[in-house]
Parts: sequence; C-alpha cells; structure tokens
Amino acid sequence: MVVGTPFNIKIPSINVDAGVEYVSTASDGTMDVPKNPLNTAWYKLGPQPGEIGSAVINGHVDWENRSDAVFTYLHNLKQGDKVIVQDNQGLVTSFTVRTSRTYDQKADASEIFISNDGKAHLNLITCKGVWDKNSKTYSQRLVVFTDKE
Amino acid sequence: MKILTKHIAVTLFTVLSISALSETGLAITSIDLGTAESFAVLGSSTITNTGSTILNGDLGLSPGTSVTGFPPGIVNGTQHVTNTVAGQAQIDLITAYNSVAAQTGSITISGDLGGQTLTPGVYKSTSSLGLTGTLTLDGQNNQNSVFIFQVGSALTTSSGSNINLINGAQACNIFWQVSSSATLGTNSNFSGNILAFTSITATTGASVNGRVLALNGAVTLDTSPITKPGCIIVVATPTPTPTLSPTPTLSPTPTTTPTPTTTPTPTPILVPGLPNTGLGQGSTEQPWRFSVLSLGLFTLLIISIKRQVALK
Repeated sequence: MVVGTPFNIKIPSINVDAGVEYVSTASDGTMDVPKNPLNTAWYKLGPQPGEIGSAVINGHVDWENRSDAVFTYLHNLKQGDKVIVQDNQGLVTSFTVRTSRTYDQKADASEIFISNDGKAHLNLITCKGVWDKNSKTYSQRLVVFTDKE
Repeated sequence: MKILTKHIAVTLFTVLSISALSETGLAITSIDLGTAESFAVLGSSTITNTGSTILNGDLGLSPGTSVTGFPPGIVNGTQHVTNTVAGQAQIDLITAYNSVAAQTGSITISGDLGGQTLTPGVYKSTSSLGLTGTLTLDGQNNQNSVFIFQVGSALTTSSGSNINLINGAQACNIFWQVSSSATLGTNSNFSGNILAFTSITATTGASVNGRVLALNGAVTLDTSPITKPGCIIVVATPTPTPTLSPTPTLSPTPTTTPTPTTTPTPTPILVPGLPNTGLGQGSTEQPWRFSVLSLGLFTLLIISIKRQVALK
C-alpha cells in the first residue's frame, strides 16, 4: 500500500498537535532536528509512518527562554497511549505506545531506525538527562516505541 | 502590460482549446502541471509569510523578487526565487491553467459548495464561488478520478471549512482554476491544486493539501501548512482474451517440488546518530543567575560605600 508523506501528528494524552518537517542527517551524522520548536521532524530517509519498518519522528524537549517545546512531555507517555499521524492525502494512521527506553546520546540507533518484523512502527525521540554545556547536548535520549494499530 | 499579454494568451488559448476539444469530445483527464509540479507554492509578484508555515514542496517566485517570512516559515523543498526554474514553472503554469479552463462537458455550479457531495467531473461557475462547511468529493472507487472546478471570478472559503476526500478521490487530481483570486478562511482545510489568475491568500491556520499557484499576483500565507500531494496512479491491467485451445489429454500430475519462498531484500536505511533535541534550558545549570546575583551584590556595595562617604 502506498502512503502519503506525514503532515500532522497528534498525541492527545500530552496535548501534542504539531506539524511535521522533513529532515535527513546533520553534518555530524546525527538525525537532524526541527527548525521550529513547536514542530516535529520526520526522518525522510526511512519509511513513512504507516509503512512497513520503523518510521522515526523527533522533537525538541525544550527551547530558548525555557518555554515548552513539542516533546517536553514525551516522558509522560505510557503503554497504550495513542499517536495519530495524518498524511498529505488525508489518511489517518493510529499507533499505540508499546514501550519507552532511554539511550546514551551516542548509542547505536539501529534498533530505533530498523525493524524486520514485517510490521509498521513509529518511534519518537527527544532529549533527556543532564545538560552538558561543553558539547551543548543532553546526555541521553528518550525513545518511545509505538506500533501501528 | 505583461499581465495583459498573459491574459490575452490565456484567453486565446482557452477559446481555441475549447473549440478543438468540443469537436473531438475528449474525456476528462488529469492536468499536466509540467515543471510547476514540484512546487507547493508558486507566485508571480511577491510571497509573504507570517508565522510557522511549513511548505512541503518547492517555493518559487517569478518575475517578482520579494519572498519574506521564511523563517519563521519552513520550506521542506528548494526555494527558486527569480531564477530560470521559477520562470519555466510560471510558463508551464500558464499552459496548465489553459488546459484546466479548456475542459469541456461542465456541470454548472454556483453560490456555495458547502454540504454538497460531488462525483468526478468538470464543474463551472460563471461568477464567484464560496465554500462554507464541508464539501465532499467522492472518487467513486477510482483513484484516477479527476475533479475540475472552473471558477469565473473569486474563490473564497470560510473559516473552518473542509474538503473531504472519499472513495479514492486524491488531492493531486483536483484542480481549481480561479479567474481572479482565491482566499482560504481561517483554520480551513483545502484540497487540490489552486491555479489562480491573480493572487492567493491563506489566512491564519488555513492548510492546503495541494498546491498554491498564482499566475500574476501575490501569495500570502499565515501559519499555513501546504503540502504538495503525492499521487497514487492506477494503471489498468488489460484482461487477456482467452484463446480456445483443444482439451488436453489428461496426464499424471507430477509431484511438485515446493518453491522456496524468496525473502524480499529490505532497502538499506542509513542509520543516523541520535538527534540533539534540546537547548539545555530545562537543566538546573543557569550561569546567568550567578551573573545577575553578582551584579546585584556589587551594586549594593557601591551604594553602601557612597552612603558612608556622604555621612562623613
């Protein structure tokens, strides 16, 4: 089945209703991030949400002036919560949270971006842990794994 | 003068095309946008954005030079401003506009499209057209179905209006040929390709699943997500005509060896590193607090010394 590209993401349990930017990799080889703190970013070199495989969307945990960003409350998601993605054809695909995991910022991300179980997954990423002022990044990443319903 | 020339070209082509098509009786087909296909937004005089608009597709302007509001707007595509790519896209847009206007066999519509359900076809309004509430476009289970709207004057959609696509209707196959300008209402959801002779304005929060293409005027956006639609094209498989053959003599059925199931090779995915999705604003470390505290103490010290000197 052909699906359109993602257009909007809704996570009702944490009041997320956001646009989707399309990103690839940054110059340091990491997945690029949204330019707008209220948007999310989809990894366009991987599957689209709803396609077989692991689609990945990230969002900022915080922003300048300490204001909330799109995934500030991602850590509140629990098993069974819904994530809804609408594509540019108006098609709505629902996902259910399976689990969350914390990774070191430099951990191997293969299991987040690749799956071979023949099912469609959507994995959400944001920052977590302690801020390192030298490297200007947090020490960890929070990943929420969801499965297509 | 340039607009007038363009107008004459458009009108002349339209008249000629209508007569040609009337004679041949061609069926409604999808419209070839040429190089304008890659654009989410294409303008002529200016492109002005306010707010966190996201364009999924290219942005183009020709012959105008002023594109403002990106950022904060974001273009998930390439910006072509006053260059040959945008110029060619404008030329192709004229052809596409003429092609839409030339579609025959139209059904007359007027007033407001809200609450209606339309099937594939050509719909023509001799004057302005509005949309309040929801317009449903029913593809009748044909993903190649095409909807053409020929609007004799302005197209205006109301706040919160919707276009609902059902049964295979696709935004890529919907074309709105607007003879003057189009205005999309606040927080409305629009579907299809708008080909406007003059300008297109998307007011706050209006989203477009389609393209915003203006031949002669400005494009104005305000927190307006616009996504160039993907398109599922269904190619009809011809049904083979069975040929009569003599009834074969029955022979013992050979034992079949099971064919090994081939595992599809997954497309390799470039696995990136984990993204840097924070700016440290939520961390407890706040160097500025120390600076402000130091400055305050220093000021108090100076005031104290001055008072002591004054008392002496």
